[in-house]
Amino acid sequence: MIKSDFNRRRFLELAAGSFLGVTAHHSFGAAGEKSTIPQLADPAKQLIYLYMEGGMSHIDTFDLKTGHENQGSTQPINSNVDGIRVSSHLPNLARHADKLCIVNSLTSTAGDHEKGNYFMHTSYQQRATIRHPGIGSWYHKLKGKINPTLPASVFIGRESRFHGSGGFFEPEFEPLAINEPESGLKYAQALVEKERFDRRLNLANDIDAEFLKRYHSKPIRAYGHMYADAVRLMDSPDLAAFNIHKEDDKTKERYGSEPFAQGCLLARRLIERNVRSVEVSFGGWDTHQNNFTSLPELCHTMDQAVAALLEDLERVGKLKDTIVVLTTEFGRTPQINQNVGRDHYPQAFTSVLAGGGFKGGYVHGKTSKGGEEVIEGSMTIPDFNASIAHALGIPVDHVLYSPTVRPFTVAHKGKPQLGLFS
Amino acid sequence: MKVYVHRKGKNYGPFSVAQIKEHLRANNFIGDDLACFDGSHWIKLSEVPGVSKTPDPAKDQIRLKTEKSDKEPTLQKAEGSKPKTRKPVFQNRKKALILTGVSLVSIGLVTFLTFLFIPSEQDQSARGTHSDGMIQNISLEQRPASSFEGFDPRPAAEKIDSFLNANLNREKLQPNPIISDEQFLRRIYLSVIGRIPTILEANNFLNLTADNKHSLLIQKLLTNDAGYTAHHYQFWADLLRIPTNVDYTLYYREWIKEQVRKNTPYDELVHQLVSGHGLIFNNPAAAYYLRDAGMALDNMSNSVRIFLGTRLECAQCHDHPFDKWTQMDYFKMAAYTYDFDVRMGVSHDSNRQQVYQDFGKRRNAAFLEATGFEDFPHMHDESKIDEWLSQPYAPGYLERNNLSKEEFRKAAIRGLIARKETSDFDDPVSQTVNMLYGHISNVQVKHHYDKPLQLPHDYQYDNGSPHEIVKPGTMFGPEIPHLEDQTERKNAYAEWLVSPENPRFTRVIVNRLWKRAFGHGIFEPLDNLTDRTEISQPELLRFLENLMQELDYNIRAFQNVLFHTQLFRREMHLEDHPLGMKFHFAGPLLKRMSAEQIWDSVTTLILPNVDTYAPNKKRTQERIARTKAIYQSLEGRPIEEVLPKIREAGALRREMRGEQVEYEKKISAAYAQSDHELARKLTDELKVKVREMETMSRELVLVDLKDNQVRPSMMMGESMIGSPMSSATMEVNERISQAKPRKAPGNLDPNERRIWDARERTSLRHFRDVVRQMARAVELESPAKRGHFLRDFGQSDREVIDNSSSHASVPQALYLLNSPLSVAIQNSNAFLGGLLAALNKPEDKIELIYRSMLTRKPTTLELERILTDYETHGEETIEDLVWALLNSRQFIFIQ
Repeated sequence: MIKSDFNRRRFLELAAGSFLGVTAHHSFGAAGEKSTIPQLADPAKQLIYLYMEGGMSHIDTFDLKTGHENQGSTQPINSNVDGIRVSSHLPNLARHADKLCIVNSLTSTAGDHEKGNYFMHTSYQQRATIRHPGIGSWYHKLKGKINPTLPASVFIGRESRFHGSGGFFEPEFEPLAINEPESGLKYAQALVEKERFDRRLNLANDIDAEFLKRYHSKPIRAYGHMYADAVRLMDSPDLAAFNIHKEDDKTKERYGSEPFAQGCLLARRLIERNVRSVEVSFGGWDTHQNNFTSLPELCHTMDQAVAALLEDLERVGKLKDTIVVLTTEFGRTPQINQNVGRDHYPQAFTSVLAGGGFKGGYVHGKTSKGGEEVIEGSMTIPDFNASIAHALGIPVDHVLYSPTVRPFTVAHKGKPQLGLFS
Repeated sequence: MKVYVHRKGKNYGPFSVAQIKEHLRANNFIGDDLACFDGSHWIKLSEVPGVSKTPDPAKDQIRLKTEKSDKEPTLQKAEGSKPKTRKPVFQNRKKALILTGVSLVSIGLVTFLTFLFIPSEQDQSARGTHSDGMIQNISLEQRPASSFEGFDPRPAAEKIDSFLNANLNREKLQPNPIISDEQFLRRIYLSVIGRIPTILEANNFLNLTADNKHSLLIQKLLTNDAGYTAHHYQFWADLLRIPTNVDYTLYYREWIKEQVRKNTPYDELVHQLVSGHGLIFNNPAAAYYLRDAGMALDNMSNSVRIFLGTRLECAQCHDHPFDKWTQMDYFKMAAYTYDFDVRMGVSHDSNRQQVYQDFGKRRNAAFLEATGFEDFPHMHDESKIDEWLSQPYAPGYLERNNLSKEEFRKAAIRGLIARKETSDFDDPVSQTVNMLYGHISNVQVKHHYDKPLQLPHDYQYDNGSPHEIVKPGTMFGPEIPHLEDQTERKNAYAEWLVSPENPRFTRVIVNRLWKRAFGHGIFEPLDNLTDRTEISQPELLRFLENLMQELDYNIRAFQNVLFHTQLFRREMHLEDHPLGMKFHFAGPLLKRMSAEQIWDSVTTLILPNVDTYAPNKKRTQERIARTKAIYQSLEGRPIEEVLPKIREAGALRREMRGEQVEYEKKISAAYAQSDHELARKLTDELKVKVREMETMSRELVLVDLKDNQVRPSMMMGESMIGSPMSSATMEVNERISQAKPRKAPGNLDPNERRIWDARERTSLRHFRDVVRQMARAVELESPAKRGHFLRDFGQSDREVIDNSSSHASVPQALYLLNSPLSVAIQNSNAFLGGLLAALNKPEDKIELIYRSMLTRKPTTLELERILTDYETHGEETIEDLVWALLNSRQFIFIQ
């Protein structure tokens, strides 16, 4: 909080001083512009962001090129929507195609994992001088929490660092990270029984009283609030949201046993308890070698879990208010390499949207016959992210300033693609 | 003379006599270890010729100090630390002799020495009586690397206080009262070595009666190299964004630690960083540029921010909107270092490049051979055939070789097919090269010779045009004469950066260290200096800058002065400090411990000898040696030796590909028939085969590794020899591995005994869980993994400069409330737990816990409150108390 107060203050000082005196630059123009895109009347309220780390092959999942030599051994199947065919490794999602808004025309130039991942998560080029916040943190920052007891945004995955975190925002906007969906929220259960826990708390309060009387500056008070929050969370029925073992075996089986599948299940529970946004990360899509033997397993896990997730969201009535994003840093070379694999391919690739105001049973954009280039409806990553932000009711031209008073927006210069909305 | 050493059943060496002495000093060996130097007899190490004369380190230290006290004390720098090659571009530093006239008589030298050595003797005797070895060893094994003890910090400290007091007077404010010895003790331990004192260390200080005991303690801590390095390294790791687990940072971070330990003068250290160049094995400082590989512009923004406290990022894209810097200023600065190039092992003279050239040669040779003409024109694809035939020189060539156009075309196609075949044939080799080089891809910094910095394509100002080549120029301070040579230019920039005439270089570091000591800078923020920055106490700042220069940028000596001020011993500022307002330093600003300080303090409660406990050091050294061995195998040997092996390994991959295609077919067929089980089985088989092939390739080519270990021949002559673990580390490891539950006392009935045993088992399990990855933060992976204590408490993720935080968060509270930490602290195998187990009376236990955790005795009120619980709940209350203090604000905030 120190940082933020200071920055705000600093910004005001500067604004009062030189800022107004300086001829406004074009890059600052956005700050004063009024939004030209009308907000949705009834935007979605929550976000599930499923990230296929490593680069998901577009041509082997949602953008099939049956009959073309680039296709390799991947087979198509029909979906529940006429004219939409997907990979035979996605039999469950094929049954939910009516909920999917498939974007087959993403294009970018960021061809290495780190940069691609960063760009997808933030809409900005990775720089060594700043970290840009991800959409979950933007959402939290601009729209606040729905459930005050639970964190606003949660990241589920094993990465020790991930992009699209809190960036330059204050630490409270950092997503809560869960490494193992199986174990849920760490240290949420007391080691001792309730009566003793309370006795301990009383003791702690009593012996700190003298100190707290003397020292009552803001950071110390913040710790007081934080302890109150933690104890409230421990006592809260919402805590169960983190525990996937509350689900019956049948449900768990429906999602699958892989960590990603359990992550999706956990995501659903958190969304049900009104967490704003949840990201689930799924690694292993970097199929330089043995593309056709690795993909079936990856697809199987993803297909089963995401289908179960969509099903459940619809059943509990959350799909209308929740955006589900399935995305990745880039696609993979349509041409098969010598290792029967596919390499990185940012020129043309696929991501999928579902829920909220997005069209279902819809395919946006088109790639060439061999899947090499976008020939219709080309969409940049900032545009894609701006569309997600728009769907969530985040104004894409809302400028926030970094600690050094540099202006940033949720999707950089991206514009919402209104054609994706129903 | 080569000496082999036998210690505890293992042989080490051979070593030179000088290395033996080094090991003796580090206590890796002792005089009683066996040694052999003639190839046939084992004798005591101390009897080896040349070794016996090694003076006792303790005596050595005394001698050193006595000598110093005889002479006029000088502020010497660490030996040999100024690089000889460094040519000053600027004239001699004009030192403001601010300390002239001040008496530089060393402070009570005799008392100082007594103080330093008496605890050591106490330790020895304590060790004798406590055979459990749980006594914290005051670290005298270490030779102080910094030589600043001859300098009396008090006059300068008094001067600082007089500036502060004058300012308080002007503001009609009173300085805060002086804190108690206990508070001072805790504060100074945390400030200098980054952890709370153990109860023994606390007693050593509190029992002293000498008037200057505070001063002595400050200096004692500043000479605790291991503890100081553990703490101060974090300062650098956060500023320079040094993550672990990236190959190049292995060298870098060990090197930075060494600079901190050696107390390399700040200006020199910075100079080495920003002039870092070449292979990291030879110059680990070059990693400063590797950190920003591919982002040369950002690198300059970062350098200017870190060392000059100035923010230039904005000017990267347009004139700075809130400061005077233009985009041109920025580009002129960036031009000094822009051409640095992180060669991924493919500089033109590298083996890797030669392997690629060999591919090219083979393709060309195959092409020519297939065409059947020695002078057939080279072409890379079919479209070039007609293009060539339409050239004016084509008819002559055809005529000379008696070729029709059609025959020419056929020959060319034959050639192109052969070229493609060779290329396909070599492709597996190329892929093997990529795999082998993967680990050492970031190892050197060179210059581009063909990539001068140009203005961006959208440059919009009158003083330049898009794509114009930028001439380097400094943003302020002295100008640098134009230099053609890139290395000289970079060095001149480094020289400019650290020059005393650079108006911001010294200012920024003194303010950073000031804030580190007192919680608030003289100006804030630390790294956004502008011409409008309001400096509330300019005389003080100027004095500090002069002091730093006078001290030749000796960072420990400078901090020694700060810690000697009255300000450091004043009560903390109690109120909120409205940010952006002037802070008058009636006392330091209260702050929470850093993540590392909390973790290290908890570790101090659990493990003995925490400062020297280095469980991961050996593994780090092995990794360093392994990286170097890989580099040596690939690049350190003649290409004639390396290429055939690479080809051989490539052949393995080529064979594999045939098999792979077969597998793919079978697996796809299995999926087509929905036989997922078979498909998965075959997939796993294939994965194993690929892995085996890659392992075999490594064994073939990486000849300086054997079984993934560095060959002994590679280890020798290394500056970082895989030295045997220090005795402190072995002792703690042993302690952990032999941890056992306490036996129930004899007077318990069977039921009580069952409860006792169950509790002991749980406690031991928690203890083991906690200590498995426990050591001071400097020893651990950083950034730690998500969900690690350190990350939850705000450790920097090493992504952006100065990124650590001390904000409250719910995961922190959950960690302290519900993790097994408090159980581990009081387990009888832990440091505090072991001491607790030896006590009976609750009052004694309570006092021990208070003094260990908060460095003070409980007040009467507190004692009464705790004893009330004790009456009802007995020993449970002792457990509750440890838990309660761990969860108290008093524990994590530094008073």
